[in-house]
Amino acid sequence: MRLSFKYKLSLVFVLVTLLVAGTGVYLLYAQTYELVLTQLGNRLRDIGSTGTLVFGPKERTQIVNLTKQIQQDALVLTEAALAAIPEGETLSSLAPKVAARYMAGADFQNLVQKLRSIKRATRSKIRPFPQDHLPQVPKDINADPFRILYTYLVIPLITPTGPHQSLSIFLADSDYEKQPDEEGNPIGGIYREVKTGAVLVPALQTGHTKIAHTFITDKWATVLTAGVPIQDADGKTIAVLGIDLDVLSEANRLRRLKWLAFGIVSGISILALILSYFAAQRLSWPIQSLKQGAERVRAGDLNTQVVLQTGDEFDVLAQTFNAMVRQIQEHTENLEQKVADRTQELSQALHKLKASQTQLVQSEKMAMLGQMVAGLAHEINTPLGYMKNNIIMTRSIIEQFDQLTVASSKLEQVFKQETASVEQQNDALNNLSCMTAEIIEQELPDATAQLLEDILYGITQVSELVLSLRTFAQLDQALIQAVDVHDCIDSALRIGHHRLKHVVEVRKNYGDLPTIECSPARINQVILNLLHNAADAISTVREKGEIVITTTNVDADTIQIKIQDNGKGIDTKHLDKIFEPFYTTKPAGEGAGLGLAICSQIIEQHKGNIQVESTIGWGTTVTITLPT
Amino acid sequence: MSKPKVLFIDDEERIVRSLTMQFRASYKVKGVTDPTEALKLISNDHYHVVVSDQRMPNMQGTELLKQVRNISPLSLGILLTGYADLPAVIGAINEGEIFRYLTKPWDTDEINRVLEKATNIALQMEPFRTLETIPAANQIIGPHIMVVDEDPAIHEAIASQFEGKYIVHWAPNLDTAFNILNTNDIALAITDLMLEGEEITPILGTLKQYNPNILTIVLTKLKDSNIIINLINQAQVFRYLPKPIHPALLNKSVIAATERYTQLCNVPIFAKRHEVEKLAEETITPKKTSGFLQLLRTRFAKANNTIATAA
Repeated sequence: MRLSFKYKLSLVFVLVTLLVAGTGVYLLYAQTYELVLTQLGNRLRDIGSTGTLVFGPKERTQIVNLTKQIQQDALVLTEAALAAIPEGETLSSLAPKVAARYMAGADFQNLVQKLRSIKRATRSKIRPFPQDHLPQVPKDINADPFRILYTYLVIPLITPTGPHQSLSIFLADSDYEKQPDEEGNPIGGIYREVKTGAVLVPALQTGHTKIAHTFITDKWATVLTAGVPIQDADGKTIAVLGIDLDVLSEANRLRRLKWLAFGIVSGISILALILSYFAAQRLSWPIQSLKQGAERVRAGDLNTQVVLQTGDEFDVLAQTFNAMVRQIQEHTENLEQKVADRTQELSQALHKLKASQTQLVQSEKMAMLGQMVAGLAHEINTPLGYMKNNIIMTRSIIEQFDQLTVASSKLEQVFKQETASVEQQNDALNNLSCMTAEIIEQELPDATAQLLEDILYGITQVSELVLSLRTFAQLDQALIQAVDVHDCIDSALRIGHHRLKHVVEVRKNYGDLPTIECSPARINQVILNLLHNAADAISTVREKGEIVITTTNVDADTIQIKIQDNGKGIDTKHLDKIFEPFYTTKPAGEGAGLGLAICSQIIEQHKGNIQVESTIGWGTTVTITLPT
Repeated sequence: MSKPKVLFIDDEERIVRSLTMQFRASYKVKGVTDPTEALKLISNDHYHVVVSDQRMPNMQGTELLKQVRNISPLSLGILLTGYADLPAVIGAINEGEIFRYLTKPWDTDEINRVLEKATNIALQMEPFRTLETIPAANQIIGPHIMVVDEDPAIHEAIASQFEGKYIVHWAPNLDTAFNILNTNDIALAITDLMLEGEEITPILGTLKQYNPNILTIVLTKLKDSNIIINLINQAQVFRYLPKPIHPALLNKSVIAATERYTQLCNVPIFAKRHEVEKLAEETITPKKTSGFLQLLRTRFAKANNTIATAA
């Protein structure tokens, strides 16, 4: 359940008020109750004329025996009297005679004495209260022992006068509870719950007055009971006067007091509710206004200020809040400038990054170029080596032939000269034949032919290389031309020859391809790079591997170049990142990891696609598709 | 005296053809295009000089020359290659222990001169063919080793490694190095190639020229194949170790060098194998180096004179 702070606060107020008021009222009630009961108890002690007389066991036996005897005699008397009653006489006239007989008995006299002494004793203790309601006690107790008998011993002195004013006084046997009254109700009616044990017996035993009050739940009433001991002349407790005071009326008064208390509590509660609502409102308004302020700020109103001036913590909070809002406002105002600054910084950083990336790409290109140049140098230097050597040798051979020519012209001269001696002729001839023999011995004509042929071969080789180089010469210019892809592959193969020739056997499966629009220099670069990669992959695992280059015309718009090697293959974990710039598995210093990134970039620029499949230990296949 | 035998190996048959044709008059030449075949030939017959290409199918030139050295230690190896890539050149020193490194296209006169010199040396060494396994002489005093490096770490490493076996000197600069050279018979110089800002190939060359028995191990950060080619041709350095130095490699090199030194002392003619070209004096420009060279020449000229007089 969600309650606002205000309601929570009021709830707390209400609870606290109720607690305090409830406790107060309860204490008041309890105090009053106790007070009332004490007063009543004290008054009860003073009430001499009320009570229940409890006899000691000896007296009780005497009374019981006497009663039985009387009843028996009365019965006998009645039968005899009935028979003997003379005409005109009634039974009542006979009774005094019976009474006289018993009264003459010692037991009776003794009992009467005791009762009289009790009467005397109680008279000092029991005062009539309230006078009006008390039935008239027989004036001469001595004159009418039966009345005593009936009145004091059997019949309650006073029948309850009403449910509300139920001050009852009766003298009774301690078994009074068991004896029903005339209407069948137990004597004492509402007092049936009063236990003699609580006051009467202790009073009889101790000889001191005992007061107790018992709450009778079903009547919602409290009964005050007092046990007043009655002593004979010897100071011996012979009976206890039990006095029960029905304080029902007092209880009702107290009940009214309770209702009053309840009313007061309710009133206080309602008042507390209303007051606490206002108090809570009063206390929580700083929070409310702070909340509203915060909401306004959130809505974007940065001019919001919360003014409380309560001087308490809320005030401090509000001031802090205001300061914060002002700061936010300032920050917001500065933000534009800061964003602009940061943007500039970022763009500078980006610019730097781009520059360094370009530099890296450039250096990678230079590395590729260097690699290429290294190969080319070897490729060109080899034919240059033998060509130069051959030419020098040919030159010296030509010298030999020159000498031969000189010798033969000399011979001719000698023979033409008529003056020449035979000796001279022989010399010249010998010289020539010597030279010829030497030339023939050295197989110079054949050798020369071979030397020259090799030179020619070398020249063809070099010029082919130079031809291939021409396409590579435009490495950085992406000139778009209609190109036969096979030419690109072939020239890449030629340039990469030195790297490939000892490591791989290249097999070409060229399909029938249309020319495509592309930058041949770029495509060459891609293919050369892929060939180098393949050669690297092969040379790490085997002496001699194989690269298969397959080209197919997939459909009218697409061609496909597939370069397959049987090198070491690429681990799956590298395969995903293979086209990422700067991703390399080679140790630092051996390639920046840009080769394939550049390849992929070039192919993308041609709106083509490059894919790599690889199995460790089996090799790698790179597939390039290009639009025609 | 029969003509010395020279073997040419190159995977380009025209090179082989050209070279055999060029030298068929002067030497007994044989040319093959397959390194495996070349090894077979060398096993069967003694060739004084073996000239090989570097890039060939199946086998690199340096690897071939290394095997040639194993089969026929008195044959001199020459590398003739179209492009000087760094691993090849370093391999030529450390594995091939070649006599010369020539580049294509070659200079006819140079190759003539080199072959002539090589065959000469090979012929002089030929009588010792039977002494291929020379027992190392009992070393009473270990040979002196000099470490020339501004960084003392290398010296400390070697000194501790070979303590009690060799006497190891340390020279942080050229002057100290000269003093050490002046007072001790140094067997092995382990040196940085750059000292006091100058590249010391000429010094190493001169040292070798006057004292062919001194072996040199070069430690360097430089990775210029031309400089290393010069180290072969002009200074005949024994090992080339790139910095930072791998200690195990250095130790191995030092041991190999001292073994070689013992061999050279026992059969002085073997030192010829490490003969270098004489430097043209005007080519040396750095002041320090040339000053040092002057000192070296004086020092060893005196020594050689003493030896000559004694002889």
